[in-house]
Amino acid sequence: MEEFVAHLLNACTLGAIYALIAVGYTMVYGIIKLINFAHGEIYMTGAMLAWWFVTSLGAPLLLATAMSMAGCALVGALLDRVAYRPLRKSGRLAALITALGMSLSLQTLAQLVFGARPKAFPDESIPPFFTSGWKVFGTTLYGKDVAIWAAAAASMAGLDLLVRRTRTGKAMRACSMDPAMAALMGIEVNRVITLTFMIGSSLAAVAGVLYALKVGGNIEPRMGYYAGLLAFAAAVLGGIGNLRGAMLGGLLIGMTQALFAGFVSSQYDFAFAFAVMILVILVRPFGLLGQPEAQRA
Amino acid sequence: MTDVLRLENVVAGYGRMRILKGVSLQVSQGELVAIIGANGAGKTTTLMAICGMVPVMSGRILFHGEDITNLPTVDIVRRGLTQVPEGRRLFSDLTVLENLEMGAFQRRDRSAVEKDLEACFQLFPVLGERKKQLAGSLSGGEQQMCAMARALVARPSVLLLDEPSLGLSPILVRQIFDVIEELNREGTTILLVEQNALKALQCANRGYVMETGQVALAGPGRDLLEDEKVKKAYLGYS
Repeated sequence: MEEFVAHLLNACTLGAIYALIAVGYTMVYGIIKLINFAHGEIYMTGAMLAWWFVTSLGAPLLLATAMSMAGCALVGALLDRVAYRPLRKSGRLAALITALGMSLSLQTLAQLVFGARPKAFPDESIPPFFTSGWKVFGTTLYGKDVAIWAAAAASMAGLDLLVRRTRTGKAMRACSMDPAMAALMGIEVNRVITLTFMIGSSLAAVAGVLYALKVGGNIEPRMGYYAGLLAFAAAVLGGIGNLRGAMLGGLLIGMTQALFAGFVSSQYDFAFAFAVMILVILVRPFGLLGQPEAQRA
Repeated sequence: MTDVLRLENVVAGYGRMRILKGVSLQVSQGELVAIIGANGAGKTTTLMAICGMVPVMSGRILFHGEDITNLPTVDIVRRGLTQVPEGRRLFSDLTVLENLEMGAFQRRDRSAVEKDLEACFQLFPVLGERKKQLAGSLSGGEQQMCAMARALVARPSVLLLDEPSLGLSPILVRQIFDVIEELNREGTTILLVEQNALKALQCANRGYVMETGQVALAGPGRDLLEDEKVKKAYLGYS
């Protein structure tokens, strides 16, 4: 029982982090039909920048995270402007390959700037709440898990509200349904796309910081690779292009992976998570919450 | 009479393909002008070229005397040209109200927008009843009304309508044309592209007949209705 609860708590945390990354994939896909493979590297950049702000500028963790969000928003906007926008009218394949290229470029760049050695937030920068714990069903619930859930839930609730209720959010949805028509309504589609990249990227930054806090370090240039792949799988599982689907998919993939690693094998946990995604896609090709495109007349 | 919209020898198309081969036409303030013609004659392309959605290779498009040729679509829309495209193209996963809000996207006068929304619900009561419903769930006729309302809340000085009667039952076609005439009576300048040549020419002040990317005939609506060639080719008389 204790073991199960302990693994379940971990699973929820990992799921929350994947969900935060997955929304970025799904938002960008929804609007320009591109799988932005460099999104995992934005997540890495988020952790890296926050670490740098803490260790070099002595910024408190919260401020460093906020600054890293802004930094990643900028990187995301630049990525679109420099790499994807010039290809907007070319085929999807050209953009896809560019995305792979950008993923590798950002990884290499991070290695050049920050080095390949894994980094961790210094202990004194981590708020005491994170290390405090409570006994729950015989196991310990740590403050950091609670903080991660709260941060992820707040970010996603905010995002959901933004997309559903605000003028900008409605314009985003309009652009993802019919960009040409949105332009005919006077909506500046490119500006909306830039904004989409910025929002997705800043959430990925949050995820990067949360992950580093959860595992107590491991901030290194390649950290975005697996996380990115799994979050992408999560977005597909939930129905790519569907925001709530990505949140749900992230939770499910993270929990599947963590529970499998806990109870069966931590060597095949990635494979198992992917296998679950593939099985779901076989039964529901458009993902859990996705709709077939033909249904939209 | 002042021309609100004027096309001078417009050549436009995609890539190397020229679809419009020198189209000239004008629309004056308060007019209802119809463009009729067969499939592939270039009617829709004409509207798309006006809105900056199809590149113009030569010729000019003037709107209120200003050259708007090849301007970004957003800039053209902001100047007061709004199009209801063929097939309605509603944002199907947005509600009726949200669709209308998108129509008013480039307007900043919030309180006036609220009033215009109310006016739209007066003009199309069924939209008022269904404003919380997803646009994709409306019937064809309701979708056409929603598309027109969405264009109207942009407060266009010229409204471009592309095949508003397409796919609608005869009763709905009548309703839609009633609305078009009413809008025009209230002062909206309208450029109407239609397959339903009879209906279009009956309510239009003037008409243009397009054939293979060019204007083949032009004149007052009533005159075109009497024209032997038009009768034969577009009105189904033999």
